[in-house]
Amino acid sequence: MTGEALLSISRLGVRFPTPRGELSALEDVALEISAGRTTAIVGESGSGKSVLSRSILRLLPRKAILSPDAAIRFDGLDLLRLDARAMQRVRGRRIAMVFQDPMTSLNPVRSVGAQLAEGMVLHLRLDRAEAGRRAVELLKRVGISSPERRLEQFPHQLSGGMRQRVVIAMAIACDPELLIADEPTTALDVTVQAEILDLLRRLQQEQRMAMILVTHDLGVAAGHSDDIVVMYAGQVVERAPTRTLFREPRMPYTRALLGAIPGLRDAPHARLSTIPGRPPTVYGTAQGCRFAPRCGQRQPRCELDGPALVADPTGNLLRCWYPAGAGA
Amino acid sequence: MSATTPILSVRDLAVIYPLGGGRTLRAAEDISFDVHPGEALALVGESGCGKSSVARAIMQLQAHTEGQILVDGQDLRRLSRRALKALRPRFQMIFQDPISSLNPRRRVREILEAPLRITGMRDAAARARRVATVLDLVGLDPQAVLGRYPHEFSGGQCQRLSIARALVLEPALLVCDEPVSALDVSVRAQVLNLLNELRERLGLAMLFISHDLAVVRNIADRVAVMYLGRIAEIGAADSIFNGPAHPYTAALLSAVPEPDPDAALQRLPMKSGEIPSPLAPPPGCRFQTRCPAADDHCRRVPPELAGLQDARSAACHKPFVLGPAVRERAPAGRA
Repeated sequence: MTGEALLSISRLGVRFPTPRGELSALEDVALEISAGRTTAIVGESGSGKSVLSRSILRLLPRKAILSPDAAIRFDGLDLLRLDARAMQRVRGRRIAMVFQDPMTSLNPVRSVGAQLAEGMVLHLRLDRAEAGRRAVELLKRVGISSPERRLEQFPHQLSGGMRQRVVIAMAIACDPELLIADEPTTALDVTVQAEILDLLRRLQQEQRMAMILVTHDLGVAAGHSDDIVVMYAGQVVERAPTRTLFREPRMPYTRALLGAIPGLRDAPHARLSTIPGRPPTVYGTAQGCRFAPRCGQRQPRCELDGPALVADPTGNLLRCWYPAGAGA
Repeated sequence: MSATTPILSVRDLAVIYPLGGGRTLRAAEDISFDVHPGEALALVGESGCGKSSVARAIMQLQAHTEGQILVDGQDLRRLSRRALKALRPRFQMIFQDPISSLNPRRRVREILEAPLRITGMRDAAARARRVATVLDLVGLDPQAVLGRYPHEFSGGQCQRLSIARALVLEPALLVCDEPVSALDVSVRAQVLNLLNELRERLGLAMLFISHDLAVVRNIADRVAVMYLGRIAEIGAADSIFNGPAHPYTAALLSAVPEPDPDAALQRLPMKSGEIPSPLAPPPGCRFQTRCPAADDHCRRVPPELAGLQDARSAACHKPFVLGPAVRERAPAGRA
C-alpha cells in the first residue's frame, strides 16, 4: 500500500434477518483503498463481494443490520454516519458506481444525453448547454463514435457494450475519486469485455481515480488490478498485490480457487483441482474458520477457533491459522 | 479418429427464423462437421453467432432448418416421428441453467426415471437400478438424493442431476449447451472434470457449446469457431489454440482474461468492437468490418471454408495473418 488510504473500512459486518435467523453476509471486513490504484474484490457467488461494494455507497436494503462498530471512512468522512443529504453529495459525485447489467442501470425512456447530463446538472451545477457539451466530450472519452448523434438515442438503440460505455461515461462525469465497478463486464461478450476492461483501466489511470473492481473472474482481476482482495463466505480471507497473490497464494481457499481455473495454455482434458462441498450460508455466528469444512489443510484448531485477519510483515492480509509458506 | 463412423454428421445445415413480412433471419448457414465416438467437439463463439441454434437444430427443437443432420447415419429430418423417438436415446442434451431445466415439482427419482418410462422400460426394478447406476456415475449418493426436490440442491448438484438425466438412456452423443456458464469457479471445475471423465469412461461423444475458450481448451479435442452464423475455423484443438488461422479466432483468444498477471497482454486490435447484425451481414467476408487485415478482396468476395495443411479449415483469404502475435505470448508460469 502506498500513501494514505482514500477509503478505509473496518469491522464491517452486515446481517440480513430471514425466517431462518440472521444471515451473516459480511463479517469483520477490513479494507483499505489507495488513490490511483485498482483493487479487485474477488469471490464466488454469495461471498459478500456485492454486499460490500453496496455498503460503501449505503445502497443496502433497509432491513440490513450493520455491526455497531463498523466504520467506512472516505477522505475523512465517516460514510456510515453521514446524514442523507451529505451522503447524496458523495454518491455519484465523489464515489461513482458501474453495475453489472447496463440495460437495467439505464432508464429506458430517457435519452442518453438526458441521463448523462442529470448528474452534472445536479452535482456540478452546470446548465443544460454546458452539460450537453461535456456529455459529448465524455462519450468521446469512452470510445463512442458520433457522440452527438448518440446523445439523442435511447438505451435500446445501443448494443450491450455501447450501453456499458454510456454507464461508464455517466460514472466518470463528475470526476469521482473512487469508482466502484461491480461485475462490469459479466453480461458482455469476451471481445467486448476486453475493450471495456481496458477502457476502465485507462480512465482510472488518466483520472488518478481509485477503483474497486468487483469480479468473480480471477482472470479479469489478474490483468486489471494492482491489489486483490479474496472473499469467502462474507469474510476477507486474503489481500495482496495482484502479482504476489497469483505467484504465492497463501490462504488455502485462494490456492484452491486458482487451481480450479482452466487456462488457455493447459493441456487438453487436464484434471482441474476442485474444492469439495460448497460455501456455507452462515446464520448467527459460525464456529471456527468458515473454510475449514472444505479445507485440505484443516487442523483441529481450525474447527474450533476462527482465525482473525492479520497482516504479515509485508503488510499483506491473511485469515488462516496455517497459511502456505509460513514454514510451519 | 476418422477410421470410426461418426455418431453425428451435420451437412450444410442452415437454421432459419421467419421474422414475418416474408423476411427471414439465417442464424446459422453452411454448417458441416462430424463428431466421432469418444470425441468432444466444441462450438465456440460470442452471443448471436448461431452456436445454440445449431445445438437446438440437432436436437430437433428448431422448426426451420435446411441441410442434413445424421445420427448413426440416419437423416433425422427424414425419419418418421416413431423412428425419431426410437433414435432419441442415442443423443441427449444438457442445458445452461441447471435449476430451470429440472421440474421443481418432481422428486429426483421421478425426474431420472421419466426418460426410461418414456422409452418403454416397464420393469420398475430395472429402472431403479439404472437410475442408481447413473447417480453413482455423476458422483451423487442415490440414497441421499432420490427422494429430494431440485430446490434442495445447489447449482452444481443440479447440473449433475441434469447430466444424470441425460445419461440414463445411455446416449452415444451428449449435446451440452453452455453447461458450466452458470456455475461458480470451484463448482465449474467439478463439472468439467466429470464431463471429461464420462467422455473417457463411456466413450461418449460430445458437442460442447461454449463462449468460454479456457473451458473449451479443457474439454475439447476439436474446435469449431463460429462468427455471424458461419464457421470461421474448424480443426484440432491443439492446432487452433497454438496457432489460430482465422483473424477472428486470434482476436478471440487474445481477449480471454487469463489468470496470470504476467501473461503478455497483447490484445489484437479489432476495428470497432461491435458485431454486425445477422439480419444485415456485411458483404464479402463476414468478419471484414472488424478484421484489422481486411482488404478490398475481403470486402467483396466471401471466403470459402478451405482446408489448410494441419487437418483444419478456415474461412479466410489470409489465414495466419495474425497468428504470430498470439504464439509469441509468454509460456505458462502459473502458481
